[in-house]
Formats: sequence, structure tokens, C-alpha cells
Amino acid sequence: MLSCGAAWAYPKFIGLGYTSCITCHYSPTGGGALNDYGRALYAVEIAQKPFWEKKKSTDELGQESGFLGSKPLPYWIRPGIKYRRLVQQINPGSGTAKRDGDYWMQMDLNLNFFTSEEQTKGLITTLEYLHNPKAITPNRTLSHEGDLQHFALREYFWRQQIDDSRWISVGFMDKPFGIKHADHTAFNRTVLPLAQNDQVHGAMYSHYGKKTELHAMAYLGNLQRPGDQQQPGASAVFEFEPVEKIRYGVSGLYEKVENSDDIYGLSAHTKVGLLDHNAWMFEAGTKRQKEWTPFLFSQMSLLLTQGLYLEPSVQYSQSDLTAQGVRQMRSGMGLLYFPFQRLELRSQLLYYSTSQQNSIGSDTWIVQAQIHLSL
Amino acid sequence: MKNIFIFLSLVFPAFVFAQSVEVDISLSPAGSFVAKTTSVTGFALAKGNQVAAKDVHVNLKDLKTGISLRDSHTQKHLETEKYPEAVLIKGLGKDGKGKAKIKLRGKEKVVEGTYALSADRKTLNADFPIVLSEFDINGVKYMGVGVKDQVMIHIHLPVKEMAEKSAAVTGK
Repeated sequence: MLSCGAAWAYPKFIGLGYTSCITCHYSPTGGGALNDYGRALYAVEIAQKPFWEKKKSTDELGQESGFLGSKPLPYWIRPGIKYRRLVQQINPGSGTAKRDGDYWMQMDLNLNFFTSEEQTKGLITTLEYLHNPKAITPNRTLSHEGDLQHFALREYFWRQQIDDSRWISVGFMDKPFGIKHADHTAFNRTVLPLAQNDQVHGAMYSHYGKKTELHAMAYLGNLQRPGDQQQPGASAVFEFEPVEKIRYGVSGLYEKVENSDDIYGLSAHTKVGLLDHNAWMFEAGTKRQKEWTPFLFSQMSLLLTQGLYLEPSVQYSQSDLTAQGVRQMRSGMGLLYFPFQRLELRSQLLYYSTSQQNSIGSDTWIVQAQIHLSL
Repeated sequence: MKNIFIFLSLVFPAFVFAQSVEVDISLSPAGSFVAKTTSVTGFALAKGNQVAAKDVHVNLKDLKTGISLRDSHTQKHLETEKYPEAVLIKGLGKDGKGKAKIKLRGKEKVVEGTYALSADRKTLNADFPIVLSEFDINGVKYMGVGVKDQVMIHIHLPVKEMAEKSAAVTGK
């Protein structure tokens, strides 16, 4: 539950002046494979310049950031490979300390196909190899048995530019809502069905205005699941940028649930790009099903030197607003390091506590380390 | 109050003050960024509901976009080694609307825009669009992300108030 991040979207790069996910990603709402520009930006501006490439110009680094390095690929295909692994220890140094896990989090093959050099029309797909097939829940693997039970499709959708400001995406993809960031276990992703494996089949309309951005999606649910578990619905996120590098957003979600109350979600968020590539993100929202479940998420991203970020965060959630509600607090201090373009290292110290009236709460310290390779 | 403005200018890069130029650049397929500089020399004259400015020089070599990759591409496409300055040769405005002759990359063009004086009439804030292709800046694209042809210029200049009888503001 407390592992973190494979959504692979970095809204904190508003600190670099990048406010729209589609500038760097094929997905309009971010996450998934990086496009050519995103790869180049990763090589030149995000990661450290390694010692063996000190003499290279920024343009050379950018040109060598492709899947095959500097060897260009035909315009119609853009592949990618991602691997992510996490180890963590719970309550280190205490009598109950244990190495809680070694998680194979992600092994993805991105295959993206385009019909034109401008890449304004294309099929975006991500095939995932699962070390543990159960980890894909609530999504489904390609088969329940045999070798295919270790494979799942994380996304497959057709995206097409309609005109200068409008895009349409149809297929299996993430729902638009709130701040989508790398920690898919954060409360602003897990209280509502917005986590790593909550993709749905639907159609999404995206509008990029001068100072606004809208993503609205109607979906049939996850059609790979049994009919009564598909959860059709709709969600949308709207952002407004009154001044450079400051975005305010609101989101809404509705999901129909068989044999239970429907889910409603609302949130407001802000993303603020601060001086020298620093950033702050904040989201406050709630889920309404049987009860209200409010959540808060706040994360700073402080650039220490190129490639190295310090990321303090605070999160809060309460399972319902009555006295019986379970209150959860999660605060963390993370270090994010990009030694060179294709490698990301993360470490994080988390403090997680729960409390409830008339019961003994719990508190837990967790140390995590993560490696992420991408080709 | 002064301390608040200093704090804001340090923390939020969007806060800028008199004698500066910002360029709003839109990207295709989506996104935008701002190039800005405070290397601007010149001032505006104001009299009643009229304003004027001439010989305002902008040092393009000091244009900053926030990241080095964009900076180097901006310098390259503006050819700042050859054309280090943009010049507002002459501008006239009345009742919030105005025209100006500008020089960029050796080409002179008349542009139209809007302006407003600050409440204390000490700063002129003018906005006008320019079309990059009219200045022979074409096909700006890097790794699939392009720059849209129209960009918006925001210029902030200190204002000198003219006496009612002065003819300077009319540019004559």
C-alpha cells in the first residue's frame, strides 16, 4: 500500500515553465511514454550531465535521447521500455524492523504508432509484464493462466488532433482528474478510483486554450472486468493559468457502482512554479459514496542542483467525517535523482499514522529506495 | 509594501516591474512559455489620454526563458549574434490603443496593440502581437514541438509626464 509511483507523470515541471502534459507525453493528461521532446528535455534539462558527456552540446544530448540513441527511427513508430523496482523497510531500527518488500513495480513496453510525421494521429499502447499478476488489480491480465497471465495492457488508445487547440482520445486510458503525479499511492489518487490500474474504456476531449486547459471524459468503465464491476462514469479536470507558472484547477468525477452507492468526486488544486525550477502542488478534495471522504495532498519540489530534487510532502485523509472516521496522515521527505537521462533513483522516508476515536492508532516509519530505468 | 513586492519578485517569476519586455510564446501541440528581459532602455511620455515612445532598445541577448535549451534555441532563431537588439522606433497611443513601428532582425513593421497606464501614471504597460514569419522567423520546431506563428509582446516602460502644452507626446 505504501509503495510509490509508476504513473510517471511530473506536473512539478511547471517549475520549468511546462504546464501542459502533452508537450512531453503522448497521453494528453500525462504519464506513460515520453515523446521526442520529453526525451530531449529529460536529457538536457532534467537529468545531470554525466562526466562522459561533458563536452557535448545541449543539442547533441537532445539528439541522442531517442530509443536508439542518435539513430533516428521512422516517424511512424516510437517505442519505449520502462523498468521500475522498489525496496522498502518498515520501522527501521526498531525491534519490529523488517525488510518489507522488494517490489517489481513496472516493466513496460511502449509501442506508439503514428500516421503522419507531425504525430497528430496515433495509437498509443503500453504492454506490461507483471512479476505478480495479482498486482494489476482491478485491471485484468491478458489471460488467467499460462504465460499470458503475466502480461496486461495498461493503456491503448487512439489520439487525434482535431485543430490547433482540440484533441480527442478514444480507448483504454487514465481518467482525467486532479493532479496526476508519480506517486500513485498518494491519497489524492487512491481515495477515488484514480490509481495505477484504474484505467477505463472511454472517449476524452481535450482543449488547450491560451490560459486554460480542459480534459473531459465519458467512460464505459473497464470492459475487461465483469459487467457489474465495470463502473461507467465521467470525469473532467479544468485548469486556469492567470499568470505564468501558476495554475488553478477543479475536477469532478461520477462513477456508477452496481450493488453499492455511486461514487462522486470533487477537488480543487493548484500547481505553482517557483523561482529556479522549484514547484509546489496542492490538492484538496473529497469522495462521496456512503460517506464523505476528504483528502489533502501537498508536495514541494526543491531543486538542489540539476538532476537532484528534495521533495517534502504532507497528505491527509479521513474515511468518513463522523467520530468513527479513520484519520490517516502521511508525511514524507524524498530525494529524487536523475544521474543521466535513462536512470532515475528515488529514496523516501515516510511517516504514516492512523487514528480513530476510542481506539489506539498506529504509526509507522517506512524507508524506500527505488530505481527506474527507461529506454 | 515594498518588501512584499521584493518577496513576490523573488518567489514568483511572473512578477516583473517597469522597463521590461515579456514575450508570450505558444507551443504546438500545446503549452507555452515566456521569454523575458529587463535589458530595456527608453521611456514613454504621457499627456492626458495620449502616450508616445521612441528609441526603446531591447537587448535580445539577455532574453531568458527559464531553461537553457530554450534560451539557446531562442538566440539561434533570433540570430542575436547578427541582430542583438529589437527596437521600438516610434509608438503613439490614445485612449488605450496604439500603433508602433518596430525593428526586429533588421526588418521594420508597424504593429497595433493596446496599452494602459498604471494608477499612479508611472508605468506604461503595452501589449501587441507580432507574426514571426513577417520577420523571417519560420518553422521553429524542436523534436516535434513547434512555436506558433503569432506571439504576444508585453512591454513595460517608465513614464515621464509631459506638460499640457508640450508637443513631444505627439511625436512631432
